[in-house]
Amino acid sequence: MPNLMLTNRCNFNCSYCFGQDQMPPAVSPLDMTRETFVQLIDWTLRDSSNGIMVHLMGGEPTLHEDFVWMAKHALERKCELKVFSNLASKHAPEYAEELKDAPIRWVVNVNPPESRTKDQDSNLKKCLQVLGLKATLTFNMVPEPVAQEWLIDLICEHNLARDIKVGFVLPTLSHKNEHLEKKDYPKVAHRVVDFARRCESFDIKLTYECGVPWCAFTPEQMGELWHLNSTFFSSCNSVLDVTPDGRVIYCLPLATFRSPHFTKFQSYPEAKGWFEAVLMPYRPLGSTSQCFKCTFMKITESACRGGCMARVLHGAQNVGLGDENEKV
Amino acid sequence: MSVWEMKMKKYKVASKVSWKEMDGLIIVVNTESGAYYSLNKTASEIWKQIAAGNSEQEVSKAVGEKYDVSEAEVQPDLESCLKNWLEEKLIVAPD
Amino acid sequence: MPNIFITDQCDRGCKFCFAKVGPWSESYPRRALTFAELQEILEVKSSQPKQVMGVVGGEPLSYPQLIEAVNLMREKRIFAKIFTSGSCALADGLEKLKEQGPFNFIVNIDSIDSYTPERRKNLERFLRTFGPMVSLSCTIVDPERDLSFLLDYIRDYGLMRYIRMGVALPIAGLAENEYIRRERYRDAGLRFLELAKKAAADNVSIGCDCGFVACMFEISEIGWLMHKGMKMQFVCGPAMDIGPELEVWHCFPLSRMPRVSLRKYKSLEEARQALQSMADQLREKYGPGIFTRCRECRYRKRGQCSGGCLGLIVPEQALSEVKPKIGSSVSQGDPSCPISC
Repeated sequence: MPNLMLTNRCNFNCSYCFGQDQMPPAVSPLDMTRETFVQLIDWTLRDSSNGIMVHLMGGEPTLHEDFVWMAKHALERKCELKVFSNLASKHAPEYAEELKDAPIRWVVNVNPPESRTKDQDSNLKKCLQVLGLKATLTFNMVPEPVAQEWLIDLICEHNLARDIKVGFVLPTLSHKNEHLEKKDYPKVAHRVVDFARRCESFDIKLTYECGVPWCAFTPEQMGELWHLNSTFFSSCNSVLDVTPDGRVIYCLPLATFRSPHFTKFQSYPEAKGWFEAVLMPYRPLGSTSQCFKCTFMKITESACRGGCMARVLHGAQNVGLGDENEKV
Repeated sequence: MSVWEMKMKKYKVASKVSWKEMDGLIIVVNTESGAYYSLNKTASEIWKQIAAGNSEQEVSKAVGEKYDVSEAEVQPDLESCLKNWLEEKLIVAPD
Repeated sequence: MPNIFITDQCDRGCKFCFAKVGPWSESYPRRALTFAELQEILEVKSSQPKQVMGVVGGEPLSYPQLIEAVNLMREKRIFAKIFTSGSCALADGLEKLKEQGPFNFIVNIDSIDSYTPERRKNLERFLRTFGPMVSLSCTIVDPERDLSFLLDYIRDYGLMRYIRMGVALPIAGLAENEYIRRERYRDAGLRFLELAKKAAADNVSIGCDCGFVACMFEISEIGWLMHKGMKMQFVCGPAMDIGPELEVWHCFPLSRMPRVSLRKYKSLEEARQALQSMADQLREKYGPGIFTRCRECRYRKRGQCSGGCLGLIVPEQALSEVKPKIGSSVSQGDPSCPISC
């Protein structure tokens, strides 16, 4: 089930964006063609025993002029669809209205209200009003504390899904974006628990993005999160991303790691297996100096795995980045 | 090969070997075999010197200076590391 | 993970066994799966991304065509987890199974104190032969019993570093097997925790099979267990045991609830929903949980805990009252006709 990056353009400029290495101005603007999109859907469906889930993302996917066409094409091909969007672009309300009855799950990345222009804010709210329960909010914990109650307001006002996906801003391989350092984890973990307590009284539960090492939380915090129905779970086991020109990357933070063209692989599972095999030897390096000694990380690969792979590989020497033909 | 020539040898980290320094210690992974190694303080220092392209003599001098010991005192550790790392194919001997 | 009930033959006779009295009746006699039935089961579509199926019994190692079965599952890209005592004599050529991978064994080590020397020897030979392909499973029958011997086996034979822990559960409506009474559940939780602490020190993870409930543990204990990577889950769902004639029952504790026919469903998922609907009806009428407090429990209301095994609370006569609610064909078992093992 790949993440298809319809465009690398975005209407926002989040300082923490971990797609920066793969987006303008670092690279030229690029939109996925209809032809590539159709080929990718064919490729995804080649191993339909895998479940036919497709994610549409960007950059900001609603900037793509063929966004609705692509969404409808995927649905016609019996794909289950999830769209990752900030829903703040000019055409987003019109697209949301057109697709409101389609079986699409919308994962809406939101930043604090003061970061949006009036128009962006208006567009977002129009979309949320239309989509309601089909929309789940996702939000990134940055190093400095920010107020978060506005998330609860959005959910209550627009009757959105009662869960919030929390990300800990991850670094890109280059570490150029704003991201959490290891030293930030304890205070961020504390803020997460605090936020979970507030959410609980609204029957809102938290889920978590990938790449957070489990030692960011204490056992007591984990117990409390479970008690609050916001059980912590995070791993590094990425859904692969496919760039607008058809290159497969493990995830946006690792966009500059390896990026073979999707045609190198017979199917998505083959691509996934390839990446896991390539990354596996590096995992013991871990993302913190404790990882190597951590008994927990060794125990089960479905859990911690040492946190974000971009953090693991950053600072590692002699990492095989693939040949020039492969590069994004 | 003379003793002097041996001491001027510059080993190289093998192409499929990656490493990372964390809190002053080096973790080495052989990405081909999947084996990984955690080096102690002295071995970590030796590794860094080898990876920087220094000769045996330069390595023992640098490590000796760092830990304020003589080159002769560094030598046994250095020889042991080089032997192990060659066996484990983590480094390659110069041509 | 659905389970293929491959054979009813077993030479163990564990006192807590809940498979010895299953959905068997005159219309549904006990027997092994035919190979044709196995092939048919493996053709049924699963929507799971990575197909894993349990192979259970009885004792699967006694199934005459086990090597062929594993081979077939491998061809179908289904990862087989074969549940076994590991203590029966190994048939000739069984070591060939190692070459047929990938699959693994889950060795249920219970009642080890009651093993004869020959059985112990068989077990040790099995573990030596298959070591890294083996993970252990153990059922808590007596909460007083020290379980650290499991870690010794893992260490001594290089087994996989995971233990699946279960609690001995009853067959609903019958008093045929040994099981843990509700009053001892906290003691069982403490025994689990004690093992988890030793396991963590040994780089071993342990996980809950069904039947565990959240109130076996304090919140801080749940936090500690999760922090150490233990797989804590308190939610009950159909185990999906698939037997002869491709008939499926919810699980062994509820094996006397009506079966559904896999031949009448488009997928395993539909069959699962049919079984779940019957369990839901029972839970609504006789539950919601095994304790009175389950009714008000926030964890149960939120779906974090199912409230324990229905086998503990559902009376025998209730089992035939339920019907699957999704379009189905139901084979009626005969719960009034117990088959003794």
